[in-house]
Amino acid sequence: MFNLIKTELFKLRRQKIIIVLVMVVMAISAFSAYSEINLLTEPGNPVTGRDSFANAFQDIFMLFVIAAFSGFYIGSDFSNRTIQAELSKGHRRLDIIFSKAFVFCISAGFIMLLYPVTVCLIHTIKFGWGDLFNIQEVLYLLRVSLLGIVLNIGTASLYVCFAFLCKDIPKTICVCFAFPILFSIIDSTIGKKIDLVGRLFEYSTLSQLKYIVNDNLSISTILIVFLSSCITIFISITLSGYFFSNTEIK
Amino acid sequence: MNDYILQTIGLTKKYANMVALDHVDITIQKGRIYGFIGQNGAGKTTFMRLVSGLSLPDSGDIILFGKTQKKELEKQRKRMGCMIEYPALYPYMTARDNLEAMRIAQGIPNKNVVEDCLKIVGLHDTGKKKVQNFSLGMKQRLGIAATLLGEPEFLMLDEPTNGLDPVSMVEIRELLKKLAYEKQLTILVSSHILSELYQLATNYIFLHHGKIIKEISKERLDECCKKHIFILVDDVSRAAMALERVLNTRNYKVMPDQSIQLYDYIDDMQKVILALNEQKLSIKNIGLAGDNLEDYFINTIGGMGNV
Repeated sequence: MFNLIKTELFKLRRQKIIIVLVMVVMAISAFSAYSEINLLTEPGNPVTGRDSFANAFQDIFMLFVIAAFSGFYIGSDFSNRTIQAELSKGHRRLDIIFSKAFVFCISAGFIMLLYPVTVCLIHTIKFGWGDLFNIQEVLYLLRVSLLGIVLNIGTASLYVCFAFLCKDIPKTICVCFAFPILFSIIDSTIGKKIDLVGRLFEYSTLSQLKYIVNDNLSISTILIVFLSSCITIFISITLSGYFFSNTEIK
Repeated sequence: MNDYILQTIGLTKKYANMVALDHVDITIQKGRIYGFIGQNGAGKTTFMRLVSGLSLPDSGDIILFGKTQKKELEKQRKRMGCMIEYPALYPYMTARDNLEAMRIAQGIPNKNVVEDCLKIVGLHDTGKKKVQNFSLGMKQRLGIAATLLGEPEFLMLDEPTNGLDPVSMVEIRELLKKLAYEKQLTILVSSHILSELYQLATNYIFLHHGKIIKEISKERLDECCKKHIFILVDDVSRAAMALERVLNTRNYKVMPDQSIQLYDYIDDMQKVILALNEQKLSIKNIGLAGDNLEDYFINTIGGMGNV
């Protein structure tokens, strides 16, 4: 499996899509940051770097970027049939899933961090951090970023599952695009009516993002963040294994 | 230790209501080149997909390098090189990077194998050209190069000459022959170009409607196809006498259309012409004739009506 992970990293370095996505994210982040300056800033009450950093974590925009990433990164392996080549070379199906999931989720986790960081940077340059920038603030930034990556990795693992279910680029992108929209709709409708569904959604990696930006975090909240991500990864990999293990590879 | 690379016993695969492979028993012996012959939909690709692990059989066993368990089969597949249907390549990478990615995946420490394989298929000078800009023939060559990584003992190639120009076809054929001879490589190759397959393979497997209908060696095929000299003269009985008295052969047949089929002197037709001329016979037509692989295959599956 280690060889497969090395291959995935090699593939990632050669794929232009990662560079394109990073540039798109930077451009949209900058655009979004400047629009917020014009739209949201009231005289005497500017958007500070700290506020925008916290708000940007709850923006679902990055999920659409990751949808495209999953399509071009994992879906393309089905379209190019390179997954077929790996299988016929004797690699275990589960190893193939793990290696792709590992590299994709970590890359996605970092790409998703670009948006809050860029928006925060622009707003901080324009209006300042909004508080005294001391070691506590640095620790806050690091904590939120780390937990953000953990949750984003969990969410990205769902996209791995979608890619192994759809097995091509367009279907993967469509399903991954639909996911955050469906999530929001179900959360705001069924989630409000059925308590159990509401609670489940509350513990999801997407919902937990709003808690990690709080100033003070209890150990139990941090534990829930890690558990939420781990359970999501486990379910995603298990489902991916189920979809991929007993299937015909075209 | 037996010399079998691959053996299938009762291999069966069904798709919905269609039986793609019906209790297929095949034995592939080491160091031979097997031509896999069948019409579209006969089950050739399905067979290769099952052996390479892309599809799962409904019943039957696959014994690869003497192993049959699922996990063991996965390990043994590392000793194989496969190209099924069309080459599996990263379009956004160069030929070199494609092979490099595959080298890393297979854990081959020697980096030189990439260059060696590119040289073997004549793609070492493609530079930074991306595979997405390659012609179909170049992609086929790169696909073959990819199967050669890691010095496999068994190659399984589905239509490897697809899209190749005649010169490249000859090159690939000679390359496969050379590999089989020098490295004792066993090859299972399917192709629609039966004349090409005839020149490449040492054994032939005929597949029809998911069933093996014939397995035959090249020697036996040549015998069955009965290469002969076709002779048409003005006097058949004098010609027959000339063959027996001058050339000392009785290995001929007089056909109902008054032509003669001579099975000796295939490589020395000049001698036959001289013998007939000595008897002052008027030769209307003379030449080499016989079934080819294509005719033989069509006859085996029951004539053109079954094609």
